[in-house]
Amino acid sequence: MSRQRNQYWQLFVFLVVVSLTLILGDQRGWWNSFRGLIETRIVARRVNHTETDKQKISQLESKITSLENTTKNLEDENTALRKQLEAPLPPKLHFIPGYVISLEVTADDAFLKAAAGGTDGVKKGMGVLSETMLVGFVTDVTPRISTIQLLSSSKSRVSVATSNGAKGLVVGTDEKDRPDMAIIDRVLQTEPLTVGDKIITSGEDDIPPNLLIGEVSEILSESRDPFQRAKITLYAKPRDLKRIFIIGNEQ
Amino acid sequence: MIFFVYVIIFSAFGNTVVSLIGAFILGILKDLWEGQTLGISAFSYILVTYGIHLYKRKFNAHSAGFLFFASLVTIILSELIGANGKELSIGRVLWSVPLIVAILTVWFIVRKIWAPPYGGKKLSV
Repeated sequence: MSRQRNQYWQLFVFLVVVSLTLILGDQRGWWNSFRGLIETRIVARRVNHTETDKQKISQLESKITSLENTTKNLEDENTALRKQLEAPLPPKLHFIPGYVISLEVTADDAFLKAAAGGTDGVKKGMGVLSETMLVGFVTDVTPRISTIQLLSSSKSRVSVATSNGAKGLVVGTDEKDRPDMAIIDRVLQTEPLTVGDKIITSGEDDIPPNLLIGEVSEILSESRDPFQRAKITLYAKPRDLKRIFIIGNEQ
Repeated sequence: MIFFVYVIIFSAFGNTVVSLIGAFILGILKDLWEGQTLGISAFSYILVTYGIHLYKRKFNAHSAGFLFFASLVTIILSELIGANGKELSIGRVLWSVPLIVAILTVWFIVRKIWAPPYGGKKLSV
């Protein structure tokens, strides 16, 4: 009996040591080649390439919104007699494509897993787009899989501007199961904020300016509050996303 | 979260060596599938399995009350560690209660149906 107990103890200690070695090795990237090999197979299983009609419609709608934004930017640039009339995003940016593997929404967090990882050049903190719409930021990277924190996550913070020129901060919402909602906060009372205002990135968070985020759907604050707050409907619908683009380092 | 309940049930009713190795393999597979740090789930499952093993040596680990309590405590601890100094997600903990009850109910029903008659003892004529 005592020998058997000793055997359990030895096995327990052995497995604990193996687990701790695995954790340490993973953080230092010792297993990256092995892990990359396995994750290639996992990703092939988890990525679903078939699109439903709803997803196709949603993608087309996203494209229309992107095109509208592109048109507006071009008009603005024409008016200002600028020379660069092409895309709203700087051409020197490098994009890393990735298929969406899964969407996970909890009470205080919302994130996507995408099939693009460290071997593709993805790093923590990189912005993630769908067309010209900001989806979120990379928070964790393995060789083949990235974890992307969505804008609707309560831990997310992005500096933004509205179409009327007001500046603010987009933060996540505590509303459960709403990965397409967020809050615009910290807008000064003196600045204009109305329902229907478009929200774009201001370019203060190491991500390009003028990326679409969403539209103000409901004003939450009152005139006596120090800052204005409003609910926004995000343009990027995480449930319908199939493919995303991670903004890599400039070329 | 759900895996913790399975690990606890398996540890309570199964052989300790098999449970330890099973918990380790389950943890590795989960980490690979979820794209998490390799070994982190295996480590936590091994701790839970060994904890149940120690409890089993002195007390009855087959009772529904113990399994429920052990599952709940484990989930709360894992959520506390996962929160990493931030606020604990009460919603997730509350959501785990019906989940644990459901899994345990199914487990005990299946066990009742599959249990051999007369406690598995051969009846002498």
